[in-house]
Amino acid sequence: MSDRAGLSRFIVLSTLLALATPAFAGPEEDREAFQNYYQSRFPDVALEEYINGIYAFNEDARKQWLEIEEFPPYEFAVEDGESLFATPFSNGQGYADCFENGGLGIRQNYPQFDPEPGEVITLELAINRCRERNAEAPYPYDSEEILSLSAYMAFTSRGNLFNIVVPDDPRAVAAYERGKQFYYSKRGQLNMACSDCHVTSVGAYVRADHLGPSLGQPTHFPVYRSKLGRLISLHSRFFGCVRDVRARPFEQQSAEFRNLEYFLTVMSNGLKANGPGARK
Amino acid sequence: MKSRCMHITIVLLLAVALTACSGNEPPGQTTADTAPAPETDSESFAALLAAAQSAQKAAAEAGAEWLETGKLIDQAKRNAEQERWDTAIKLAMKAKQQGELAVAQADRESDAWQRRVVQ
Repeated sequence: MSDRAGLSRFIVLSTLLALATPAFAGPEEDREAFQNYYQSRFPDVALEEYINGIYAFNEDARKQWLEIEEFPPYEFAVEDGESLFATPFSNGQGYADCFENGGLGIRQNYPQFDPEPGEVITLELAINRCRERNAEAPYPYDSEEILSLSAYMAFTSRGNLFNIVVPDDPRAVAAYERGKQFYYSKRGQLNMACSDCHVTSVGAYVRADHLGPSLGQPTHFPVYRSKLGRLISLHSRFFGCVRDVRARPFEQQSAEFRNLEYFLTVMSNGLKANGPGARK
Repeated sequence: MKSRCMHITIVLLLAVALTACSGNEPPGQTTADTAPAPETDSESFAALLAAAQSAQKAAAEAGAEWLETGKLIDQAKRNAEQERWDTAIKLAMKAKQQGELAVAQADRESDAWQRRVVQ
């Protein structure tokens, strides 16, 4: 009797411990759980549609968006980006010399962990590092030039599937985990986490708009914002969100935002690149 | 007679003892003369500003600084420059509170975030 009681106690305690201890899943397990969550919650929305954000959920908004896409407002930026991309640096080299495949059709490979500096590199950071390696001044991260270049390179990558790998390097895993922690951590005077809006409250009407899911968010950046009349980067959107919950935002291309982009893009693995996008 | 003398002696000794216990100041000085001088507004503000800046720094180091804290500190300093002490002190106090709340938030979130991870 005492053996059975002891065994029962052990089973109960083990179960309680398992429930209380957070599961430290890897990136692939996280991605699967993340995508399954949205698919279970919104069974009528096809997985591949998540790259269109809230336009996959709201029929009226989708109709307006499709009309805008007939003459997309980012078209001029893509043309400018193509021109900039083709212009050689003072030393005769060009962007094509810095990237695999000549820099075309590679958007889906970013962000990536670079073992040499031991950090996450985004496409925009890679563009500027290319410039610096060729003795050109880096562009500010909210400049028309870098956004146009990013838009052009994204445009050439449309339809390619994201498959960001977190290599078996403790620094890469740490960067991924820091991005994950950032995403789920409450911050600011409003005490809100990214997940509060983009997981828990997807579809809710907040600040005169419907909240979109995080799944598929990185795939369509940079984005032309109609309300601003220009392109913005994903990190500019991060900056705005952190400011909106009344926390002091980090700078674009800070380690915090690069790690956050890393986490979010892994969560969108398997989805197609479809940048640049157009949004309200 | 002997007992009356003893009573008077005891009363006198008690009187002396009570007088001795009434104050620590040397003869010629009162309690008011030895109490610390009240802080001036400027001193109060300086102490509060230092505390606010320390709290802001702690919040920033935790990656958790709130949006307004720096602005509150700047506003506090501007009011102090114009000797608007009440306002300066209130603003510095608010900045200090924000810094402390941000640090508490970061401490809480260092674990709490894991409970929100989609499983």
